[in-house]
Amino acid sequence: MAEHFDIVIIGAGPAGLGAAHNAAKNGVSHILIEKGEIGNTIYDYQLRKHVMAEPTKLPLRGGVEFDAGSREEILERWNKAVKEGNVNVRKGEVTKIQKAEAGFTIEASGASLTAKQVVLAIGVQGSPRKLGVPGDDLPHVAYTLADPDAFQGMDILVVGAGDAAIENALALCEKNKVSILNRSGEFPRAKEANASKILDAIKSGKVTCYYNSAVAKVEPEKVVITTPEGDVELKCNHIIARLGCILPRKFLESAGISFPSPDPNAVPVVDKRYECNVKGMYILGALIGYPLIKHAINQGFEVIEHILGREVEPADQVLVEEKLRVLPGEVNANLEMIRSKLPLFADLSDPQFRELIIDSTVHIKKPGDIIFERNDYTDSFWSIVSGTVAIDAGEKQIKINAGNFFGEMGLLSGRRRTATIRAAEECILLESPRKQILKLINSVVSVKKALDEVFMVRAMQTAIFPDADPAFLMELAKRCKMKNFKKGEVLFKQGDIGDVVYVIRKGSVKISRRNKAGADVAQTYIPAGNLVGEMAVLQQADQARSATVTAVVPTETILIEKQDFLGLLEQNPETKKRISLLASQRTVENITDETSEYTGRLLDFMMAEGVTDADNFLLIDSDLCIGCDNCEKACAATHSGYSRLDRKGGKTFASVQIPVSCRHCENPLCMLDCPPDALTRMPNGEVIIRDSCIGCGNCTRNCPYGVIQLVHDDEHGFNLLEWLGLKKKSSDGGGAAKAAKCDMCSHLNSGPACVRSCPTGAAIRANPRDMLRIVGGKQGVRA
Amino acid sequence: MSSEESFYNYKRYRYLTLNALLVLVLLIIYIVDSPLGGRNGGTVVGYTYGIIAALGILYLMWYGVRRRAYYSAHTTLKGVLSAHAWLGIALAIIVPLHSGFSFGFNVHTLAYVLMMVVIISGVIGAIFYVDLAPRIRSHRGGGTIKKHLEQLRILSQDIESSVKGKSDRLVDVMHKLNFEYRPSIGNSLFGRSIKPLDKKHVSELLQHLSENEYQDGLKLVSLIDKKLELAAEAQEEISIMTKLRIWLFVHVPFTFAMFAALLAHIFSVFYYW
Repeated sequence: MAEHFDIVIIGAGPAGLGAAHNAAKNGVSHILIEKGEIGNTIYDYQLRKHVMAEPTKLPLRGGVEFDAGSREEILERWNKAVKEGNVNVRKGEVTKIQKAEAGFTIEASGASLTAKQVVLAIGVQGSPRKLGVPGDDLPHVAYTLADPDAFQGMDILVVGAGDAAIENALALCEKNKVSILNRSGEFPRAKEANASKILDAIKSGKVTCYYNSAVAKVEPEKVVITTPEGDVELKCNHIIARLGCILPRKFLESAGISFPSPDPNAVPVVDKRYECNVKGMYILGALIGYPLIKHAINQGFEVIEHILGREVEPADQVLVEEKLRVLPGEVNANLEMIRSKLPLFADLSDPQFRELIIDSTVHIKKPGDIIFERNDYTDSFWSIVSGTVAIDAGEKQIKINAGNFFGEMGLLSGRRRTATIRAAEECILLESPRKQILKLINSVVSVKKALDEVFMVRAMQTAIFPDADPAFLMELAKRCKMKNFKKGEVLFKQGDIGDVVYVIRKGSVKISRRNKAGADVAQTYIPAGNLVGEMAVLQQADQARSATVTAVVPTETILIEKQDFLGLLEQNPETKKRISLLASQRTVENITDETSEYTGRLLDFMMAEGVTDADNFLLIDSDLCIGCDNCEKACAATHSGYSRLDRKGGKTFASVQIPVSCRHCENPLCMLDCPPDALTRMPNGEVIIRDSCIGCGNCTRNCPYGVIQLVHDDEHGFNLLEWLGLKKKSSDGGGAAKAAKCDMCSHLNSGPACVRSCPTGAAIRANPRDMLRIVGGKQGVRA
Repeated sequence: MSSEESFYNYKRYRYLTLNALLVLVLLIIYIVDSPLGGRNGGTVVGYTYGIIAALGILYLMWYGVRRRAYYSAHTTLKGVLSAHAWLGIALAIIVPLHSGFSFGFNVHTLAYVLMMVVIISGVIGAIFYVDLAPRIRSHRGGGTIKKHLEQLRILSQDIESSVKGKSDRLVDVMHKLNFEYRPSIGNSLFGRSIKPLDKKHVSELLQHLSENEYQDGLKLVSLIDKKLELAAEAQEEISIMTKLRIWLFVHVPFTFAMFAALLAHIFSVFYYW
């Protein structure tokens, strides 16, 4: 005869513990089955590992205590909760769950149990994701790290950019030579504290980081990785791959649980009471896409309340209510309504969706309201819950209906907004921060795929084919390929036969041509959002490329085959006329205006200095500069005594000097890893640092031009003794150091003080287009 | 760069034009006016011009304040400097018109002389600004003075050590060609310019060397040549940097001296009225 319990809870992680503790407290007949230890995932952590308690704002429910602390402290608390809470816990591995007429039958380590309800909280740590490259089964490839002290003086490669990878790398780097391999260019999935720690370690040289890289091949004692700069072979005695875990999908499906898609990353869908498609079966924690401990404990508490028939709001309900206050009607109905209207987020788990809402802002816009304007620098992502918005693309307006999204171009390419968007009728919009969407792109495959496809269509639409039929473009997008180029890699060479055109999605490229003397001379650069290579594919007959195109920075492009491109042009005679005219203009220019080597070299200099990616940079005309440093004095005087520009430290080419000063890049690297999101782009392009800066220094490390410094706020009143030099100027100001850089004097109405205070007019603020115009006219120096 | 608008040609010589017009108008009035007792500072025109000139001087002196007013919102320093420079030059003509070209050995003329020192030093400064800025090496990718001096120090050591343990003849060549470069402002402004090696003299010296020493000799010459080149560059850079600043040591103190003399001039005029 099988033992019977009202509730069988499988898995004694935080979710299972939360549930079992609450069941015990309510005197419900229950059993908690665990194949390993209480809190097994934490048990497997490195000894004395510090565990964080995120999200910090979220309140914790029920009797299972949890706060940030060491692995040992947490396990002790949980074991105490089990003992003192009279939780009925049993060791055993569940091998089968079957829906029976009046409940479930469960087989666990030979024993047979029956239950009215099953709470499944087994997590995902059981099956780690493999590297999936030749050699990933070699003995020195591991997927966990128990005791970092077991490794000394070794060359270790940690693969992954999540918390586990970061923590392993940090634990090993004191006694070993550690490299970390990151598939992307940032650490968006990691907790903020971890991200800033690993960036510190990378900066100080304790850990070597390979960004945008992947493992190609593992061999004994070495590993080959692919980086944007080419393949690199590393000496390596040990590899730890922390690529997350795969859901135990087979087991779940055998219990009757269905999945929304065949996508390996899809998670089972549960309702807000955590009940899945199998009546009476509840799923919690990482299994439904929520890996954080606090959420899991709360879910465990809540699920028992639900089973007992008590109404309980999710712990984050207050936060959700706060966000949805602008909408009339009941909060939960509104939440459901928003969710049902946005197919992009269909695959998100309930908690993921709630987190998205908590981080986002709901807007109600009236017809004609401008949502953002062309050339704005905002980077948030917009979803249309109801109503219609219109994109101004030239003379034509493109309408986007409810259920769709926009603003994704700013999100992916880090450039200015390419079009103005207004509300076409009254609409409800959801504005989500860039960081939150990046997190979803990284964790929910369907979000990434949908965004990629729509990005291609919109890139083609706004950059090249405003008149094209969106359906046709969508069709084309499916055939187009994405191709990434490393810094300095050639897209095509002058003289090659043209067979494809490229839409630059991210990064920028340099156009260069051979001059009469045979030297390759830079002609211009083309930023993201533009088309290159169209000149040689305009006719059916083969044509040679008239210039060489090289990636200036790591560049992502969309490839359109010649025939597809010509097909598109046939369908859009207006566009064809426009592009043909442009091409013939360029042909004429190519013959008549050969760029001098001087200008070409200057362009190369500008590209190296990053000013082609600048929105607005300070340049000094050395023909006028007398070196009085009044620019620096003005900067210091208007910025609490600290100059944000270093004139002498800048690089020079001929008479053009580019001081060390913020370029307000179109694609600001400083913004990549700012924990409090203090670095912001103003609508008119300035990159500024808000007061919320915590002084972590990530931006100073990420800026390739060294323009950000950590300084103490020196703003204290005038001191006569200091002024007379009788007292040393206090430099610590008492406050914490914060990041400081050029803010374009946004606090002054008159514009940048450096420029206004230059007596000879040598200091100029310019953008790359101005600069080309300025130097282009300098005939005297041209070769 | 093509946008080479400096202070002197600010807004297509706006302040040159305005000041030229002012001077022209004042000159015409001066010529037309024929007061009793001849033209002098005591006539209506004389007093008026005196007031104009005094106000002009106050405006010119205000530049020192404006230069440090970094929050100033209405004008750019370039524009203000342009007005400062051209008005200053205009005063050189307006003030004699005020006095009816009467000069003497008195406090009035002293004020004028001091003002002329200020104006001339200012003009020299302006010429330096325009003329010397494009020649500053360190602004054009070249090393700073400090770097040059450091390199010179290293080169001197290299030269010394290149003849260490070598024959007396080689050491002798070194002593004949080598030189000590002492960077100084006086040297840079007034000293002899550093000349390149006299090729004939060098080849004569090298002829006395044996075949083995000849290669060492050539190496030595190239080191000394490099040192000369660096020293010449350093000397020029120091000279430029000095010139860009030194005129201010005349311009600013004489401004205050002139201002004191001006006050004395005004006081005495009214006191002895």
